[in-house]
Amino acid sequence: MANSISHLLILLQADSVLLKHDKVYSILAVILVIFFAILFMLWRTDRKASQLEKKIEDLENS
Amino acid sequence: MKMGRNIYKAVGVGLILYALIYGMTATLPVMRTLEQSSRNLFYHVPMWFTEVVLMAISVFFSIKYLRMTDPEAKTSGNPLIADTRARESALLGVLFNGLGLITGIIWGRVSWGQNIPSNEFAAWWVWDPIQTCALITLLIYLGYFLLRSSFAEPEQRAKIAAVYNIFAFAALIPLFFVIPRILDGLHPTAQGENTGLFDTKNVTNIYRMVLYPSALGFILLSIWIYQVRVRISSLDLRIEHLMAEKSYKNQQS
Repeated sequence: MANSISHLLILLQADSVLLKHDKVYSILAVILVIFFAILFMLWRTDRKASQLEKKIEDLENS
Repeated sequence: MKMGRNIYKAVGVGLILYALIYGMTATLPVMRTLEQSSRNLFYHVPMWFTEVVLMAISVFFSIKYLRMTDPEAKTSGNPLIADTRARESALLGVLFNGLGLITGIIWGRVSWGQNIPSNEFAAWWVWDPIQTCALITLLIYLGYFLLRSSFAEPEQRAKIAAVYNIFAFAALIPLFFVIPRILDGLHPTAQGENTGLFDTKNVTNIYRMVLYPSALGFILLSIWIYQVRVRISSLDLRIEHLMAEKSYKNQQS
């Protein structure tokens, strides 16, 4: 009886360990860092395309 | 004007941020076996929403290409831009198809295959109908790029690829929306008693409140990537046009 209760307690701890000790926030932080880094590169590529479009427009008009 | 064109990018990024932050921290109903991995619904399923939208864009521009090159059609503009749009959206669609398969394998490993040792194939891949249909779809679209790579002449490549793309999309609809619903499977959308671990009765509104915004966010982000890639490819077409003009002028003088 006591054995099974302690087993249950361990299970409960294991299930809630991610949320209880705020460890899920570390995963979230990692994902956000990756997401923002990729987003930054996409934004830079977008701007680069705009610059090239301007350059080619000048070339076509010359 | 420019602000208006860019607003969808901000909306897409905002929706994905909401899905990441709220989806990872929200308190969800406890589901047996899935447990915390049920959060994968917010990131795995939007890959498929996004793929279908991209493939629909692709087939739209393939049809547009064929209409523009019709000798009786009165259209202006370069039809090869429509071909470029079809190619770029199909390429991104293949990317999201691959991401959907990989995220599905990772999720399946800890849910469907959790009691199977890692060295067994069934721990990673179970030939579930949706899984199999998604793999077939990926192979069909890889065939589209294989076909494209076998033509050197741009107009010929564009025309044959456009026709193939219509057949590919016609195959995608039953593979995604019909066959998996008829057959028994582990996915919750499958027919039959055994609806797997993600019982649709358990999908409460809190899941929908994250899933749908997340799907829309990923669709908008993919359209941003698609637009950037189309713009760069169009520049390539314009440079080729300029170079052709230049060599024509050189020949004249």
